Amino acid sequence: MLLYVLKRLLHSIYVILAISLIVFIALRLTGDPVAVMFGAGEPTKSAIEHLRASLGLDKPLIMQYLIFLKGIFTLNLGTSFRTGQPVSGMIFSRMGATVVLAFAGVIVALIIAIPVGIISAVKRGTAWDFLGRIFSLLGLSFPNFWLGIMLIMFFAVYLDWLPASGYDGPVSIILPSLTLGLILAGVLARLVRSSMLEVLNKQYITVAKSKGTSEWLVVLRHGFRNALIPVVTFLGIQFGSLLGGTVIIEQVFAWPGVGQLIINAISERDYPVVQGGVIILALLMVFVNLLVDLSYQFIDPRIKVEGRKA
Amino acid sequence: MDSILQLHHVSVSAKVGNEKFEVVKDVSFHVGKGETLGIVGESGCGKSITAKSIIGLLPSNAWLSGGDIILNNREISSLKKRDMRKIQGKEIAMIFQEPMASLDPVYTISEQLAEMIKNHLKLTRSEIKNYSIDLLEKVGIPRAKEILNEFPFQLSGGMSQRIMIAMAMSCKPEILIADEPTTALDVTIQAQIMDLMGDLKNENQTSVILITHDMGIVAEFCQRVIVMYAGEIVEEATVEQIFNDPKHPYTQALLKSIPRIDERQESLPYIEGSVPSPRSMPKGCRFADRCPLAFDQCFDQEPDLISINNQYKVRCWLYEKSNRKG
Ligand SMILES: Nc1ncnc2c1ncn2[C@@H]1O[C@H](COP(=O)(O)OP(=O)(O)OP(=O)(O)O)[C@@H](O)[C@H]1O
Ligand code: SF4
Ligand SMILES: [Mg+2]
Repeated sequence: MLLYVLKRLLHSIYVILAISLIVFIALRLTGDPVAVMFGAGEPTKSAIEHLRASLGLDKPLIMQYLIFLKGIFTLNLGTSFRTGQPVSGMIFSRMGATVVLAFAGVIVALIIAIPVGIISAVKRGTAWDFLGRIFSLLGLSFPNFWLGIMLIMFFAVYLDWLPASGYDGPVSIILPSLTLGLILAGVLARLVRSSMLEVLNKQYITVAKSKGTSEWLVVLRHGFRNALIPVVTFLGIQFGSLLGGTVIIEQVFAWPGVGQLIINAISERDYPVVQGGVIILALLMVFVNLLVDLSYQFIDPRIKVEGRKA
Repeated sequence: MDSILQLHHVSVSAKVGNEKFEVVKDVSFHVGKGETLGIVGESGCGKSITAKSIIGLLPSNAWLSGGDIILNNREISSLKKRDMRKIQGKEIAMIFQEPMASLDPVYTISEQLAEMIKNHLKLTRSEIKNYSIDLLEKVGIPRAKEILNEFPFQLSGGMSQRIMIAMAMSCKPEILIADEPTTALDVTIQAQIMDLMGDLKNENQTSVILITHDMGIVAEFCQRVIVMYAGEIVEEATVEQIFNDPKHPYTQALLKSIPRIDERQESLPYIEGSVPSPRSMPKGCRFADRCPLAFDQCFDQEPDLISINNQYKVRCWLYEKSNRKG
């Protein structure tokens, strides 16, 4: 078990290295940060040189990268080009908001997708199934920012029930988490349905019914319990893209999370903030994947014993 | 013999897409108390569907399209699901062909046994536990206490089938339906499992409906046999009659390649041609295409199941009075 965790952590280091290299290069392709830092006026050559040196941009690229790497492992991600504040602090103060939003999104998705998927599968071929599948299709085809805007227009502007954007107390999370959750629920409901359909065809389902157990109990106790395994796998794999979705949704709802911070930093070419933000999100993803992996043993006994052996 | 279960003209239909068709047609038989009735026939003849119709477990796209099923003088095929649940497992239990697939992979053996017991018997937790240990010991499982806490993937096929038998017998059902209980197992284990079932059945006076491909098993364990072909009963007789003097050409073909009655075999002997699909049944005798004795009438008109004597029924024009010589 411990060995397994260590192996996974080692693997995560490769992932983080790869991501760090990609952000590093991609950022430098977007252009010179110094160019956007001087407003209208024509800066003198020496002023530019001076600024570059103070930001550490005069060093060779390889050195800059190594400094960034060292920062990752010491959790000292440098200071913002813009504000001069330490990047770690800026990110951590916003991390909570992002994590809360992402998890709220997953929970909304689960609350919707599980019943929809189960009913679709059990009532296969009926109007219920049809509705469930339409729902999935919509979830799959709607861009999330668009859904976000629609929800704002309806609930915030038209009905004026909920705040449109920003953080204005706990109710503020309703619309962004609904947006994230609804989109994810589309894919998830489809997965729950297909996974349930497969499980419900298994012999042990018939056997459970032959014991005189009620149909719904069989569906939940034996059907859903088994269908859960691929669903958890999927959530683990999808967590990365869920974070990607969160970044966009934060922008739409002006949600004060890491995503918003990163996007603003990109437009300002604030290298340390972008690099740090992306790495922290990547770490979060790696961590959640590990959690999901470890949770398998609780939902699939076949894995627990293999783990014990290892 | 008192009959405990009777099927009267049971038909089952299924729907695939927009197409409806009959998969089991006009099946009638009875099972006596403590009796073992064999059902034989090639793959796709409707043996499993017939069995599932009795215990109320037809697939969702299939339904009873005619007939009655009477258990202890009570019509059960029209019962509400809720009332049927009291019979499932308690009065009629079923074991299936694939023991490994019969157990839910995510629950321990004790949880799966307890599900059955809790449904029908009023026992406390510790009573259920003790009873489960007794049950496993009775079906010859070593280390019963430990096995109870194991998961299905840790067991062999033979062990799984023993557990399924323990489960099926746990509430002392009056009828046990065994749908090819040994087909998926090694030959050596097959014999052990059949003997185990035989012992438990005798001990509890259970009536058994034994579906099998194995004529040797029929000879050894059954008192009477039903031969099914293409969704219908084509012959019904005692075991002695069937083996000594099979009447229906299909039964004759089934038995032809068995050199000795007590010899076990893996599958039915090969008969040229194949069972007609339920979607396109011939208009005459359903076996006519493959029957070496077929004559004109066979292709035109379907024969009825006729009684030759008290215990003997056959569906073949050769035995219709007008066709019988002498
Ligand atoms: N759910 C279903 N929908 C449609 N047709 C079905 C369904 N289940 C069974 N059938 C058809 O009904 C017929 C009888 O099937 P059944 O499973 O009873 O055969 P069987 O005699 O048990 O065969 P085997 O020896 O292979 O188990 C077959 O032609 C099969 O294709
Ligand atoms: S009715 Fe005709 S075709 Fe059918 S089994 Fe008898 S002889 Fe053969
Ligand atoms: Mg079958």
